Amino acid sequence: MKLQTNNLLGWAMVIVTLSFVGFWVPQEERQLGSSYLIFFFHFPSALNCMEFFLLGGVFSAIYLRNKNPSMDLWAVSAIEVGMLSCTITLVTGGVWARAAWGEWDTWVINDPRLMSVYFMWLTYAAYLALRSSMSQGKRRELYCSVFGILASINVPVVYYAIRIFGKENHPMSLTLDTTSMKVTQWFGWAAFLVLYIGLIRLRRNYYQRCRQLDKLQEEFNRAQI
Amino acid sequence: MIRALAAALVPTASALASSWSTQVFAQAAKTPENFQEAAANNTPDFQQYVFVAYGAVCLLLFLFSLWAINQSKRLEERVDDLEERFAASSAESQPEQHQPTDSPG
Repeated sequence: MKLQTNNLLGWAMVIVTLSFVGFWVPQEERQLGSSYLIFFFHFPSALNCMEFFLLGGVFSAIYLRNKNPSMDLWAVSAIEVGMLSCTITLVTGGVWARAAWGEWDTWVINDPRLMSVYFMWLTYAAYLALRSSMSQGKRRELYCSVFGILASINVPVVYYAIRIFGKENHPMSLTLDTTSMKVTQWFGWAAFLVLYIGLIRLRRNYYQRCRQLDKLQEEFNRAQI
Repeated sequence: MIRALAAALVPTASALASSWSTQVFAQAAKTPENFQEAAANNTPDFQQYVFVAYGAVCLLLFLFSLWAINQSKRLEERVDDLEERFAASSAESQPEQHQPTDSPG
């Protein structure tokens, strides 16, 4: 699929998700009322961010095995989009917490899952900082790959945080009774996934171009000498 | 074959679409009642939170896309510029290399 088509399809699906949320999902959540609708943006982002961080770890491991620079580019692209997704998760989680629990500034400390997600966000922010602080080359690729693998260890911890550290505000899992809610949930996940894949491809093309530019610059400098 | 497939698919798709739209409109008709009920029970109106969350999601996605596209374009321009300069400099150095030398003998 072409990159532009991929992005357009992703945007269209994300917009359709809104119509699903607005018109199809029954507002049956008695306790939370319509604030429950945030779930349909919050859940896809949370799931996708964990997928992309894991994917970043897998690409990093493949890079370490094969020393293929392309894998390093895929890893950083997946992690960048994972960071975007994680930021969306934290923002929507905060809004939902304000609506449901009446607070959005202390929720990070009270809940093991939120705490671990926050830690994961910081870890990957450090990954991106490390990457931007080093000049391009084998050394940067190696360091970032090792960091990427180590950081991905936290992803299962985030997923099983409630089981490991005990339940606070967050549920371990949610059971959706109505078919329309299940369909909207998984359609939303697919919509965000398609859009994020488009963004990963966009970023990967950018890094590929960066690599070409560096090679061109080297050739140019050599020719000047 | 294609015609037969289309003959089977088109009515099925239209039936599905009509049933889906019936459900959608039925649900849309119910929604205000639910909000009224919530208002009667002194439940706060959470609609604004939903809109804020969705707005934040779209804004973040949009800004990221814009940033990524902008960066790619700027890089593209730099690559083009460098390629042009590279081509120009190699064109300049080419005649010098192929100039006949007046060496004796």
